[in-house]
Order: sequence, then structure tokens, then C-alpha cells
Amino acid sequence: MTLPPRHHKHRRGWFAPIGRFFDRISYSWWRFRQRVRRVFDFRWLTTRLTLFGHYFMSGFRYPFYIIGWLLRQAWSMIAAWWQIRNFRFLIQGLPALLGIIFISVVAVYTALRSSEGLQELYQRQALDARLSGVKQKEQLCYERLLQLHYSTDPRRLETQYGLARVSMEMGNRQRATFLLAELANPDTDQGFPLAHIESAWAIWHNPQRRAKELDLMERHLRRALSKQPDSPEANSLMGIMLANTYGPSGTLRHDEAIPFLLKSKQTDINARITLATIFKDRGDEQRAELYARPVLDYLLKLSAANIDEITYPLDLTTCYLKLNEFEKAIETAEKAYRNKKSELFRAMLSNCYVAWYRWLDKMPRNALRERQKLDVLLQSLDWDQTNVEALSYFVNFMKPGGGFANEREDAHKVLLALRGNNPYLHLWLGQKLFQENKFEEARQEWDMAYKLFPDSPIIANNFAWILTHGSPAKQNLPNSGVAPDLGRAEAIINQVIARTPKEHPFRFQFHGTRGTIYLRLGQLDKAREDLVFASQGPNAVNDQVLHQQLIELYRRLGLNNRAEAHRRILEDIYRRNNRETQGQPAETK
Amino acid sequence: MSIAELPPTPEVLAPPPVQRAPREVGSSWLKYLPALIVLAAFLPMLVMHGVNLWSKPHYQFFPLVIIGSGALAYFAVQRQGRILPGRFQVAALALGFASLMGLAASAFLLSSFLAIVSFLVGLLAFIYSYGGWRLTKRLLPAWLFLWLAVPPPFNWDADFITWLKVVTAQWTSYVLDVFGILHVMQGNTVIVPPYSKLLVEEACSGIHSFFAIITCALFFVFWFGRPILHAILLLAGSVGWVLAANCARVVLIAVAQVRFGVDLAHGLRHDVLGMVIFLFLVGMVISLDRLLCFLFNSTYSFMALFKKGRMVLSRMAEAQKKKIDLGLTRWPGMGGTWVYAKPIVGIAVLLCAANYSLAALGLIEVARPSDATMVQALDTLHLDSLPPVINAGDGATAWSRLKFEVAPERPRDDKLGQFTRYWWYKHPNVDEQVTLSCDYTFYNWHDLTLCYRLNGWQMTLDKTHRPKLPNGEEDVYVEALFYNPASGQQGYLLFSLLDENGRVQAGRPTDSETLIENRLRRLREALERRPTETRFQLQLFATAYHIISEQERNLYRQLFLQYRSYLTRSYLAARQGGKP
Repeated sequence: MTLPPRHHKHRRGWFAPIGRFFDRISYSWWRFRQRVRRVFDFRWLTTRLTLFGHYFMSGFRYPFYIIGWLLRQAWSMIAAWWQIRNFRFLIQGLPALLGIIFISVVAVYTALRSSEGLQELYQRQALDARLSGVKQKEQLCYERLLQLHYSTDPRRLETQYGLARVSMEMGNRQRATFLLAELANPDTDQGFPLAHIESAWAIWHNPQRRAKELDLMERHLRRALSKQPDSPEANSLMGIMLANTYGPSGTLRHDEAIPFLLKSKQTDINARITLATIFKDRGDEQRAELYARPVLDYLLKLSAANIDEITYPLDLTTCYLKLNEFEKAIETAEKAYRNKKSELFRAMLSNCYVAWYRWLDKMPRNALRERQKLDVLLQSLDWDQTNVEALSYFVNFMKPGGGFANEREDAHKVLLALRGNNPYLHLWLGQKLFQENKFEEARQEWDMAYKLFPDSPIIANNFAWILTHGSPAKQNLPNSGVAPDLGRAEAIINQVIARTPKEHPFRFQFHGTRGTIYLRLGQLDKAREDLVFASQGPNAVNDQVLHQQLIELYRRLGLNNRAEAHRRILEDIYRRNNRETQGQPAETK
Repeated sequence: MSIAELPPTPEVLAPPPVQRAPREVGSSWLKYLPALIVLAAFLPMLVMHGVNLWSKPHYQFFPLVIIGSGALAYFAVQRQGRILPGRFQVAALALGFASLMGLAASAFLLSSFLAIVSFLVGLLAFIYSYGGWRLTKRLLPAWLFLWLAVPPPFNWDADFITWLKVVTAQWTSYVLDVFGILHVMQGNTVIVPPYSKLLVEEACSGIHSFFAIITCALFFVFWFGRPILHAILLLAGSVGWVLAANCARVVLIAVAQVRFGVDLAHGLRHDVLGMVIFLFLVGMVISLDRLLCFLFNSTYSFMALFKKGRMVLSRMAEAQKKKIDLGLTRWPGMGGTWVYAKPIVGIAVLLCAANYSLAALGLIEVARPSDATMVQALDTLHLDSLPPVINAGDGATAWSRLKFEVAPERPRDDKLGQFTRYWWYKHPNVDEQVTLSCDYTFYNWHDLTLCYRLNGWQMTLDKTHRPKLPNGEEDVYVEALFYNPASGQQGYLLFSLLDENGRVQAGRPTDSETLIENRLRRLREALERRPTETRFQLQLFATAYHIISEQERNLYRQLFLQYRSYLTRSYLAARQGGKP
């Protein structure tokens, strides 16, 4: 150990302050060196640490001594307490004790249990219920899952979609629509892809869709594809939709459709057929064949392998129709009809001819083609006399005027011959005659139709309508008119209303007819009930005849304000339609 | 000091305090006359209180409270030796006077709550005045037990019932999750497969058993003289048992329904289940009392053991075991009590006259108001009591009646009313049909929004409309909008409460007419013999899967006002004997 320098030397003389200054510095330097050295002096360090440890441990263990003493005291108190217990009380209190333990266990288990396990459990139950077809249970599972999910849980969308799907399947359409609208709003967020596809399908299946709705459908599909770009359903639907819609230039959007269809061609028959149709339209028969052939072969094989199955021939026929191969389609359907004798194929055959007619109708007109069109239509009606589409084409085709009058005359004769036992042809003819103001003839036709098919509510309704109105007398022939037969009309329409379900789409019109009958009979209260009900129908706002009846009714009841209100509505309809009202029956008649 | 020198119990040897001799009154029945007069002054209001309590199913146990209190009091005053009157008679007199003033106030406010509180205060003053501090101490448990017959003020018991239902429903959900039973909660309704709705009603929520069990536990406490900590724990434990048992009841019903297909929610099975659970609850309360005895019974002695030693303790225990017999109870005369003060008797006579007059006028209801006339008239309402077509207000469209239905009769005190008649209407511009209903009978204001909230609807708007009628009167109806998170539906509710005379009643108690106006109106009606305590409710409820627009709400409002008008006319016609 080095000794410290003598910093307190007694310095004398004039240089003493300088000397003391340097003494001080040397002492400080020595102290500094000493301190630094101590840090590295292991012996000193261990001594200090040991001392410090002793101090620390002494302070540290005293609390433990105290705690130990307290515990010993407590234990002795508990032991003494336990010794003077009355165990009879414990036995009597055992049920309460067990109850407390049970409740505590359940409470702790509930508190510690995560909701993940529960969600998994209910998800599994939902799947089981779906597989076993128990829809109410499935619905409950999804509702419970919605309660368990956090608001930002990504699985919430899937659950909500499941709930919407099962609600739709259970007939709760409004709720399903509400849920789907939340999931598939193309303007606000990404939503759930399957919901977007569902919404797109709904639009696509609506036969009265407009350009605006097709635009919405496209946005739905683009939302779905942005999340699932390889979804075969979305790609296929998008391709089919684009292939069948017109772009801004007025041409079909085939170029846009092809990439989507190519993505889904491996899994979707419709996509391949649409591709084949596109290439066929472009004249590229080779590529059309390339896409269509595997599908056709596949369906042919399936048809051959499953003779009893009727869906494959139907699909095959549909494919041929899409490819405009009408002869093959008809051949396939005829063969299937011969084998299976199903009425479904008669309807299919009739539709094949209708499709053929539509295709022929696009072609330039000439005498040969007109004859061919008539043949095709007659073939169609031959297969299915109730084919409304074929009938309407026939009506349009038979309109007087223009060329080919002779052919039409022939066809008219054929039609008159055909109608012998076809109530729908009588119905159509009656309608045609009614529109030509030939009421008496129309009444005869509808009478015949009613006799042939009295269970048809539409035929009965029309017959009741004409019975209500009778026919006015012809000029110069005072006794030529037919008087209304209100009693018979009432009996017929009452039967119709009693037999048809409340959900029948023409239910409102039936009530309209009955209301008119009551109006004619002077039973104003009953007429009011029926006509007001009829006015709640979906298209009642535009029904001129109904408003006329209501005006008459309210005038006769003395309710001029209401009559005036309906008169204003009627005028509005006239303005919109820009034509005078006529004494024609409601739409179904 | 040796054990033998331990001082005897001070109560035995201490000389009785010097008291002034009670004033003697006549020996005939006349000596009880002042007390009877004071009691008679309270009687109409007490009967009214009893009638009010009886109208609440969860308070129908109150006769047992009176019997229990009587039993406690009877055994508490046995063998008490000579009883001396209280020393501070002036204080007792002041308390008694306050009690009579409370009675007067209760008669003016027609508040049976104030009356019963005044009576209990007066009773305590009488006990002290009659038997001094010693008798007061002996009778305190019995007096406290009587407070169970006093319902909490401000309708807190209704709030408590609501809370209990919600808690029961929540706990049931937790337990059903533990057992892995699929269910969906909608408010206090549990839905289990196959889509059966188990409504946690008053019976299921155990509100009836709750008050009965609390009474039972409190009787134990007072009867056995349990220490305060023991008493608090026993009461808290009883509350816990009731909640657990209610939860177990709903879980049992759900399990029986889902697993075994057995319906325990209705009929005899439900009643038997309720009775079994109640008996089980009583057993559990007794068991809990024993368990608490095991834990605490000798803890106080134990503390004494630490202080004084084991030998001293055993001596004290022996001394405690010996009953202190003070001899036959000798009662003092009642002449010194506050009820015999002349001013008090004078006030009591005045109050007697006032209260019996009010009772004769029907303002103090000593019997539940009869709803027979109203029910008879409303029961005649049928399909054609409302027109088949109701104008929608726009002149062109109309509401068409679809059907009519009478709901099955419910218990008399059901929160939805005992009877309901429904009409359904449909408008062409509205997706869903609307339900119009007439529910009866109610005896005071009925907040229908609460019923919907308890069924899982979340209220988003609650507004009371008060348009002025042409005759200057005020029309009142409540409008509320709801959202059901489980089904995603929006709900729209309009309702009014009408009295027996077909007049629309004021809204909720918070926004009712002023107190003076109310009393004057009721006095006027009483003088005209037109009792108006029975009410029926008219409501319109519509649902939609979209936000209900202002236009639709206007349509509903028009329909509701017309419906109310038509139905009131039909009802009044039926009441006068005509065809509705």
C-alpha cells in the first residue's frame, strides 16, 4: 500500500503558496489513484461486498421473522378455533358449502373460459345442423355466433352471410335481404365476397333487369373479385354477364368477358359454353369446338351412363341451344323424350323451337324463311300448346299487314283447327277479339276456354269479367247485345277467390273483378272492401280500369273527395300514357 | 378475584330506575278508547296499504310478516317481570305527534307509503312510552321485522325486478354456455332449439321467492338472535341463493326442452318445479345459517378466551345458558303513554273524521277498484269493432284489416295485462302488417317501452306527444323507436293509456300533472262518483327491416289516432249497452 504524499508540509518563503498548490495537486492525484485502484482491488472489494451483504440480509430477514411469528400466532389461533368447533353445524351446513363450491367453480370456469371455444362449438353445431337440414337450429347457431363475435371480428361477416342464407332458405326474405345489403354494399366497403356474388346472382336471375341493375351487378362482382380474384363463381358470372351485355359502343363486351371466362373454364360448364358461343359468333369455329367439345362429350357420357337421370339430356340440349345448333338440340330432346316420356322434354322441345324462331327472326326476311318461321312456331305449339312465349310470338307473327298474307291466313286456319281442345288458345283468341271490340265472339271463346279448363283462375277471372260487362248491341241490331250475367260472374269469381292461395300473384285482380261485380250489383260496402284491397296490388297504381271503378264507387257513396283524388291519379296515368282510357279489362284479363 | 366472586348479571341485581307512577285511568273499556281512536285514525290508510301490497304479487306474503312479527313480539315479552314506562315521555309525545302529522300528510298525498312509515314511527314511540327502553329493546326485532311490509319508495321494487330479470337471463346464458347448450338471448328471453322462447318472467326470475326467502332469513336472524355479522352474511347469502336458484330453474327448463323434449315451462310441471325449488331454497338458507354457526358461533367466546382464559369462559358460558327469569310480566298502565295526551286524542279524532270521509268518497281505496264494467265492455270488442278499411290520411290509400285475434287470458297481475285483443292492418306502401292491440286491465301508469326493452329491443327514441285537442284538453301518446340487434329489425311503437271513461291518461309519473291538480281532479271525480283507477292500453306496433322513415311514421300515427278514436267509440257504446 502506498503511503499518501505529505500534502501538509510546512512550506516557508515566498514560493510557499506555489509549493502548497503542487502539494495539493499531488495529494488529489494520489487519492484518485487510490480510488481507482480499490475498484480493481479484489480483496477490498470482497470485504466491502461481504459487509454490505451482512447488513442487507440482516434487514431482509427481520420481516420474515415477523411474518413467521404472525403465522405461528394465526395458526395457533386457528388450531384453537378448530378445537372448539361444533361439527354438527358443519354437517348441517354441508349442502350450503357444496353449493358455494359449485357456484364458485362454475363462476371461475365461466370467467376464465375464452369465447373462442364457444364460437368453435357453435360453428360446428351450425355445420351439423346444415348437413342434417335442421334450419331453425342452424339459424339459432348463427344468431348466437353473432352475439359472441366482436364487432371487428373478421368471422362476423361469414356468420352474417350464413344467417342471411338460412333466413332466405326459411322464407324470411326481408331479413335475408337486409343482412345481405349490409354485407354487400358495393359503394361503402369491401363487404363479403359470397354476399356480393349472391347479390349479383339475384340481379342476374331477375328477368326484368335493366342496364342500371346490370351496372350494380358488375360492381358487386368486381368487389367480390377484388377479395377473391380466383373465385370460379365470380369469374364465371362476370364473364357470362359481360358476354351478354352491350358496351358503350353498342357491341357485346366479348373482349372483356374472355379473361374472366378463361379463369373459370376449368370448373364451370357455362363458362366454357359461353366461350364457345363467343368464338362461334366471331367465326372461329375451331376454338369454339375446342371449348364446347369437352363439355358436350362430358354431358354425352353422363347421359349415356345415367339413363334414368333427366338433368344431363336437359343440360346437353341447353348447350346445343347456346351454340345455336338447333337440330342437334331437338334431336337430343326428342331422343330423351322417347326414352323417358317426361313432359319436361315436351316443354323443352317447344322451347327449342322458340329459340330457333328467335334466331330465324334475326335473319333477313324472305318468303322461305317466313314459311320456316311459321313451321317452327307451329312445331313449338305442337309440342306444348300452353307455351306462352310461343303463343305471343305467334300472335305477333300473325298480325295483319305487310307481306306473306297468304301464309298467315293458312296459319290462322291451322290455329283455329288447333284450338279445338286447347283452353289457352281460346283464351288468346278471346283476348284478341276483345281488343278488337268483338265482345260477343270474345265471350264465346272465353266460355269455351272456361269449359275446357274451369280450374284455371286466370281463365275463370276473364270469363267472369266479360260476364260482368256483357256486350253492347251492334249498330242497327237492337237485340244483338248480350246482357251481363252478374249472378254467374259472382259465383265464378267467388269460387276463384276461395280456391286460390293468398299468395297468388293475380289475387288483387281477382278482388278487382269481384269488386266490379258488387259495384254493378249495388252492394257498395262489399265493393269498397274488394276494390280497396285490389288497389293495394303491386301494379294497381297504373291500373286505369281500377281507378275508374273506384271513382264510380266513391261518387255513389258520396265520398267526392276520394273520387276526386282517384280522378287526379287517373288523369296522371293518361298523361303518362298519353292515350285515352278504354273499356278494357285489367292486365290479366 | 376468584371465580366464585364473579359479579352476577347486572340486570338481575340492579335496582329498578326510579320512575314516576303511571297515571291511572278508568278500569272499564274506556281506558283503551284513546289508543283505539289513534289506531282507528290510521286504519283506512293501513287498509289501503294492504290493498296496494296485495296488488303486487311479490308482496302477497305480507300477512306472514304480520304473523311473524306478532310471534316475535309475543315471545319477546314473556317473563319480563315488572315493565316500567319510558323516562322521556316528552320525546315519545313529540314522536307520536310527528307520526300523526305524517298520517295527515299521507292522507293529503294519498300515499300509503307515508302512512305505514308514520304508523311504524308512532308504534315505536308507543312501545317506548309504554315499556321504556327495556321493552323497546325486547320488541325491536319484531318492530324491525314489520318494515318488510313497507315496499321501497319511488317504485324501486319494480326497478329491482327488472334488474333481477336481466341478471337471471345473463347468468342463465353463462351456465347454458358451460353446458354447451345452444341458445340465443333476446333481452330476458332465452331461445332454445327448436326455436322455443323461454321468457324469464316474474315467476321465473324468482322475484316472488326472493322476497319470501329474504323474509324467511330475516325471521331466522331475529328468532335466533344472530349477531350482526352473521345476519349480514346470511341475508347476502340468501340473495345469492335466490339468484342461483332462478338461474338453475331456467337452465333446467332449457335442458329439459333441448335434451329430453320435456316442457317444464308451462302448466303443472312448471308450478311443481317452482315449489320444489322454493323448498330447496329454504333448505339452503337453513343450511347456510348452520354453516355460519359453524364458523362464528363461538368466535366471540373465543375472543373472550384469549382475554380471560378458558376457565372464565366456561363460567360465562354456563351463566349465559341459564335463562334469567324475571317473573311474570307485569304491564304498566297506559295512561302515561303519548296516545292519552288530550291534544293527541283531539288530532286523532279529526284525522278519523277526515280519513273515513275520504274512504267513503273512494279516494282512500280500502278495496281494489273493480274493473268488471270495463272488462265486460272491452270483452265485447270483436273483428268489426274496427272498420275493414281505415283511411291513411292521404285521401287515396287506406289501411285494410287483415285479421283479428283474442290472446289467451293471462294471470291477473301479468305485466302485459290480463286480456289482449289484436287487429292486424296492412297498407300498400308499407312492407309489413302492423299490429293494433288493446290490453287491459292496468291499475296505474304502465310503461310499455319497458316490456319491449325486456324482450331484447333497444330503444332509440322515446317521446311523449301532447297535442292540444279542440276542446282544450291535452291528448297524450308515447312514441318509441326500437332496434332489435338479434333479428336486425326496426320497431315502431305508439301507445296511450285510457281510463274507464275512455279518457286519455297523462303520461309517465315524471311528467304527470302537478300534485295539487291531480288531487283536485281526483276529488272532483270522487264527488261525481266517477272512479278512474282502472285503465286499458291501446298500442300500435310495426316492424321493418329498414330504417322507418318519417313518411311511414306519419302513416302509423294517422292509423293509431284513428284506431284510438274508433276503439274508444266502440268501447263506450258497449259500456252503455249498445253494440260495439
